[in-house]
Amino acid sequence: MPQASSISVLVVDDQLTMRALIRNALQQIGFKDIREAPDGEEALKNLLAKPANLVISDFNMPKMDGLALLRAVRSHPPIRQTAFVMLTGRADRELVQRAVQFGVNNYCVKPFTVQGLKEKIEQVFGQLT
Amino acid sequence: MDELEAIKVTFFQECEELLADLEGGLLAMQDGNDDGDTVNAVFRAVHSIKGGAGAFGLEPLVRFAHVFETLLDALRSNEIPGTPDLTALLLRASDVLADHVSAARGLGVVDMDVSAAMAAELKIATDPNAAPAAPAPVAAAPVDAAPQYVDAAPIVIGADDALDDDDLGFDFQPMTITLDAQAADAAVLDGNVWTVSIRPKSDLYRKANETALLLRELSRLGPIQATLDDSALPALEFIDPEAAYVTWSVRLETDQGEEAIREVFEFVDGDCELEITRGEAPAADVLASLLDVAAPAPELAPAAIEAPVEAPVVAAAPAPEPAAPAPVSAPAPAPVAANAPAAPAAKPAQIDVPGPGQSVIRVDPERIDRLIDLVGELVINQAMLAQRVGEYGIAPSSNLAMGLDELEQLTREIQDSVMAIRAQPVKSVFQRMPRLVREVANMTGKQARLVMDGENTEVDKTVIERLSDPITHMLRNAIDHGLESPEERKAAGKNPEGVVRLAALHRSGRIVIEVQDDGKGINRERVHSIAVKKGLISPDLQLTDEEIDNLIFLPGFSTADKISDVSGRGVGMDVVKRSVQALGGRISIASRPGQGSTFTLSLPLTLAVLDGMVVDVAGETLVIPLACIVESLRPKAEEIRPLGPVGSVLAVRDSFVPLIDVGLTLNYRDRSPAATEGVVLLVEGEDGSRAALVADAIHGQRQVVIKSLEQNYQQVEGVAAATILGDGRVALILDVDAVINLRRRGPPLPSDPTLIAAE
Repeated sequence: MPQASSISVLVVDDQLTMRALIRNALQQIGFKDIREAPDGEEALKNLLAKPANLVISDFNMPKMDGLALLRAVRSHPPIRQTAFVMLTGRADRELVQRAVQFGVNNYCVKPFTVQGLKEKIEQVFGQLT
Repeated sequence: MDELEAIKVTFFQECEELLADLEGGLLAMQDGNDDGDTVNAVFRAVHSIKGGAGAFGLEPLVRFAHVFETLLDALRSNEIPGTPDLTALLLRASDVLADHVSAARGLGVVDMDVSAAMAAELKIATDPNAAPAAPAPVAAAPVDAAPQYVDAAPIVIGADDALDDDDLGFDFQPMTITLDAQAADAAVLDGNVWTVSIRPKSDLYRKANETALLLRELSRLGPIQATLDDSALPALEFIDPEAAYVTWSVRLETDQGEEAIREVFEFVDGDCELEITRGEAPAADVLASLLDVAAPAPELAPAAIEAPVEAPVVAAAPAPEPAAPAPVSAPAPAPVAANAPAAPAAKPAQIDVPGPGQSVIRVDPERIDRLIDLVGELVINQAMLAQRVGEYGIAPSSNLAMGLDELEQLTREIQDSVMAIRAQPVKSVFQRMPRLVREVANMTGKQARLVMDGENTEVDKTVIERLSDPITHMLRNAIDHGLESPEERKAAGKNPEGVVRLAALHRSGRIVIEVQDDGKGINRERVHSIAVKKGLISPDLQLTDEEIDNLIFLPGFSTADKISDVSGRGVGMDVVKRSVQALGGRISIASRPGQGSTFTLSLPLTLAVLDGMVVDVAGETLVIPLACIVESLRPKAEEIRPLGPVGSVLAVRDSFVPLIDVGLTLNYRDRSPAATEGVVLLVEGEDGSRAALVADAIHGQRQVVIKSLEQNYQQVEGVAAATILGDGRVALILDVDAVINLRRRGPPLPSDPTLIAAE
């Protein structure tokens, strides 16, 4: 069972508020190593500088959206194994389908609770301690 | 909970930005710029406000935002067409949304009836067929009935319809991964990754070799990713067909050694520059190629959607579609077709790649203010030091003096840089104005379109903050008093929609704000008669048109027969004028009957420093703002002509300008010395009028730190502010326009309209 504190997370969302809220939720779950990026491009720079175990990314963002980020991550071997959880505004069938094609690990529909987010992450990494 | 409170503060700050984005986007749409990006940005703004509001349980805001968002979503996905009417509706909705945000913040209340009616309108616009049989407000009532903002504990993050994950309509299986697998993958890559850089020379091609073949050979060693750099490729007409322009960077994963890689290039030895390094290419290069991979909208062809997870198929395909997604579970052997020269994975664009962690810093403005104060002190200290050194008779060529010069240079640069931190575009003030115009126009039954210009003009933050009130007032005035009703306009052969233009520009070291309307202009007869009736001017006073126009700035003047809702909020133009003057600014109006009026407001760019000329007048040291000075000269006796009993003018080239003794004007002395004994500074006032100021001596140009006279002493006629000189003495900074006017009109009377008018 992996420890949340040993998993590094990159939170990608163009909203400062949303990043702060997700960070707060992740801290409640037990994550310690949490980084943030405001869009896909910054996220990519961040990952290239230092890989993360998990990316939690919004979909609709300026510059590079979540899907493009996922695609870029999966196409670069050194970070291709990064777990990727996509946040979506609604249960958008087409979006999730495309994300699946690009190799998304899980998705999470807003709004979500701290517990809900935890479950989504646990579905990827197994139960967290 | 404290942390959540802090996030809430962030949220409201972000809301301000989002609301500005929203309005900006809608205004762009109004101007016909309704491409997908703009509409999506508008949608995202409302969506984000809703998301954050949901997290903090701000129910009424969430509900209104939801209705709003639904309409924008329909517009975004082209379910409904964009029309000017719709954009106008969206703009009004954005105003209501802004009110909701303010209310949620505790800074006001929302008119729930207005909100409900707006929500109903939005719903109808979203789906005209679903127009409620019941009256609209009733239909909307359940949505917007809750007028109270109650702080609820955040339970959810982001908010939307309560949709279940199961709504997808297909079976989704989360893809698991373990930390160990990640680590193992990384470890494998660690030792086995090579970066091969190939720079072919023209000889390589002449000997009938081909890079594609080399890449194919390389791919036999393990999976490769090749990036073509064609940045050296000239335009087609300049291409030398025999030359070599492109280079390749190949990322190779292999368990074989460097020898094996070199062997691939055995036959092209010397015909290409080869660089083989262990490890990844520099992050910047990788980023550039990855951005390229991600750049095209990832619209997959149907075939690709059905594509199997195994990727080798892609490698053989001739399709130039750059990087097909390499699925996690199966590291693709060769994402790039080794046999296809047409398969460059990516062209590294010239992208400026800042290091990780580079981002915007938010700083408490107080810290910057403190820094500016300190730099101000530094400037004064530096000036003092320079003066001491001068007093000791140290040669300007000495090391000490030269070192001091450098220090002065540096001090100036620091000062400029610090001021630049605080400089902001006037946009932050301007962007609040479209709403104001809409509201005032609605209230007064006028049709008004606001045109803005120069929003990116930068000015010091302290000045920005004080621009808002005067601009608001000038705009209200322009619509309320300037523009005619649509009927009147039609009768006058004008477009029923009036145009109000708000512009910002830099002019001679100041910021100038203009508010121009195309209305009826000032009714001079009426203004004059009111001013007489109210005893503000004497009936027999002869005034120029311009002077009459500027009577509206007199205290106690109001042309509205009854105080209107809009302009007459107990504040007259005189108050605006006074507050502007207190900042070292000026305001004036020019009007043309039937064509409209223009308010012009000018303020110093900064309230902190000033470039000035230090002069001596009757034993006093004064500073004259450099921005006003055109030239300095020593007049000859024959250039001075008397004018009237006491005045005289100076012939400067082809024109005559009034000669003004500063000492006399400021009452430093009773009679002027001959102008030929002193120095004359030719100055230009705000309105372009010129004058020749007589001073006794010039000390030189200096940058001075402005200290407010009102704050430290009191306002003095003809003096703009004070400063501290290098020797520690206080010097007054001359208000050139005031001095010109003082002299022109003789000693002022408190209610002398001509003085005010011309100022």
